[in-house]
Amino acid sequence: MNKKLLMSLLLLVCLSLTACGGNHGTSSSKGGDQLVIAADQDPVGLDPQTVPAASSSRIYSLIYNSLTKINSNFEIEPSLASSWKVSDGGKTITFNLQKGIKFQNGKEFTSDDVKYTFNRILDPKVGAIAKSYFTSIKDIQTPDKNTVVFHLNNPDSAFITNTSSVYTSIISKDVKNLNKEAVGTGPYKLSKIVNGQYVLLKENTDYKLEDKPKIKSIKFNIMKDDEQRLAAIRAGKVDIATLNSDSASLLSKSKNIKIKKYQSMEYSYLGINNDKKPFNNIKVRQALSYVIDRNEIIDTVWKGKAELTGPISPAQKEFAADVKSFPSYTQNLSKAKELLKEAGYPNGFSTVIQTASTYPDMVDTAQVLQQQLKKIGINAKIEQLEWGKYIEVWKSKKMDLMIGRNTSGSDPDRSLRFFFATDGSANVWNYSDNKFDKLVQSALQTTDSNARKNFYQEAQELLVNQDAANLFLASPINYYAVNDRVSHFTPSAAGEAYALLNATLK
Amino acid sequence: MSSMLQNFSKNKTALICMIILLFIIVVVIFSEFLPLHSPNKMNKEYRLQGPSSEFFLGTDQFGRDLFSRIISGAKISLLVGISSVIISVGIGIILGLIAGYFGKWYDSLIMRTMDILFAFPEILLALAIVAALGPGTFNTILAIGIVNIPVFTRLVRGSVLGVKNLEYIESAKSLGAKDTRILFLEILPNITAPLLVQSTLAISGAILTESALSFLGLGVQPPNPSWGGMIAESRRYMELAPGMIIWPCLAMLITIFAINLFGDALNDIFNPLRGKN
Repeated sequence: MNKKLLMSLLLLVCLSLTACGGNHGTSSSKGGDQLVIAADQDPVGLDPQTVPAASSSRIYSLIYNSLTKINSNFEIEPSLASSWKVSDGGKTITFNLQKGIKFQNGKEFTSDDVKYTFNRILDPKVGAIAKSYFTSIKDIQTPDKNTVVFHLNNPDSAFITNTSSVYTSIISKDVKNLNKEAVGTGPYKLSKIVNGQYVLLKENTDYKLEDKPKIKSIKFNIMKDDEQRLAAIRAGKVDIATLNSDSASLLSKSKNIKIKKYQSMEYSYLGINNDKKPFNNIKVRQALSYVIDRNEIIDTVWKGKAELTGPISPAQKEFAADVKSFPSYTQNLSKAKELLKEAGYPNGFSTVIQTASTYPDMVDTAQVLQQQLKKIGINAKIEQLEWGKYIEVWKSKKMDLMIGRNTSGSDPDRSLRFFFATDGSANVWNYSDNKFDKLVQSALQTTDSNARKNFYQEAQELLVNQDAANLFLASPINYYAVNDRVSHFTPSAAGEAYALLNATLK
Repeated sequence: MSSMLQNFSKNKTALICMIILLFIIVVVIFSEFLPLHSPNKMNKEYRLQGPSSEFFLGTDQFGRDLFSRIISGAKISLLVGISSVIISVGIGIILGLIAGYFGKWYDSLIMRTMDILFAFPEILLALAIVAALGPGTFNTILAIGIVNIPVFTRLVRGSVLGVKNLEYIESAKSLGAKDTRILFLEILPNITAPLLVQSTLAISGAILTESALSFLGLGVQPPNPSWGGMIAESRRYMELAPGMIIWPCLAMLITIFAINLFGDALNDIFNPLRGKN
């Protein structure tokens, strides 16, 4: 016994010694001109038109440019297009392109590339994310190599905003496999990807647009756990890390780390399959909306660091409906019971809530909802799915209930039509309401901004309060921990790329 | 038999471990009657609290009582551990007996299949099975049960090979006993000792595998508590509420430790000669 004890003690000493050795080797990973970001997921492909994952878009948005871009005040600014003109009652849009821009493979950027990009987006075989943004396009013409003219079927008030989306990044017509090669016109070039470890970007020295980066290279270190990122930013191994609100509060007393936050454009939701029994009954969906207490989700899951939200996140101040005034946003058990009874389920029913095991906030949300649903006799079983499987189920359109997160985007057209129109690219919920389709279509076609606003108000009211197509839960505040070595990094809903291009290193 | 009991009472480790295990089992069985909070009830006013008179070990991020969750987790751990081992022992005995007693191509077929299963790391195989069947307590039991089959098959086959040519089997055969009688009434009782030791150790292995699966979100599904799942959830609160991670870890540590030492002690008792070396 004594021998054993001695051996284990020796082993312990050896282990601790080797652990110390390891620490010495890695503590000086900071390079002078390199910014290191702790990223929470590997990129899952780099095709800006077909891969919507945030882990991918934060990288390709630095490699590509779109025709226009959005600043932190949600105003449209020129990017690859130097100017644009709307004529013919909103049915013709002419973009003048920047001259002398080159792709990172040395080829010149011309109007043909723009035409190629938009044709690829519209090609049903490609399955582009932005396809439903541009259904109004009738024809694209390139009178010369610096001009592109879009002829539209009808006026489209969201068109120019939509050209700022990172999903409409202009690609080179000579590059075929966009997931393997990333050749854009953007401020950074892809230097190296090591799966599960890091993504390295180097400055594009030929970059001529105004938003020239001030940092020579950016390295995304993949650190999937929040604690891992927290430890890394504390130890000074990374300069920037995204954190949850709990971890952020732990850093508030750190001397050389600042916490930056902003109201995100994301929101969490309970997805409902509108086609599946019993959820095909509108009263059942309304009952769900009345029985859940969204404020409890904000308090418990987000520790109060989130806002009530509808399909348009509150960050889009101009268009977001005042959801607090919606009757179904106040928990009302008797009303919920009554609705369920009218629907023919006086004693409730059993169902399944699916969620992704990789996102703790989704699992937590599922648990709170499960407890709340019990109050009217709905027994929901929680099923955590691995990320790949989760996406598969989401696409299948055969789920019961599903917890998820959406990015509502910078334009209400994306927030509503993309996710909920009958032919919306991301409408996996089998939701179809003629009136809703008409409202979002009219909003798109009107040029009067007040009328547009009214259409969207009505559409939100219909989607949320009447049809209860999905339950919109909370729009979180996002946190970045930033080392003092970095200045002028101001994250906002305009996107991480925008903030990174303004950042400087000490 | 009496010498065995004597050995047992002399072996202090075995005694202590057995008391600990019995205590855990009794608490689990009678947990329904203890004045505890419901393990899944959320109390949002009491989130992430330390130990208090109301909540003996504090609360988690939903204000659920950690103490009752740990006891509830013990129930699930023991359930998964014992039932999965029953599955693997049951199938392992049958396959091992057939392979060892009949030999020839039965032996080759069964043992090569077992070798294939053996080639996978335990947790990887369990993960693959759960991924195919879907998450949940029952599927976790099934997956761990399947993973452990080869261990028992090999053990039983080896023991059968060791005894099948001994005189008492010969005599049973010459008296005209059927194969099934020989297998289950003559051979099996003589190999129970190593089986019992291996089963005990397999239970602790199964509990660990279950925790690993639940940690990855593929085992027991929330809100039902499992030690592995509790540890996974509490990683985010390590600094805010360290109790959340310490208590389930400690519960698991004590249980696994007790089971393993108990298994070792059983081994010493059944093989007194080996024990003295």
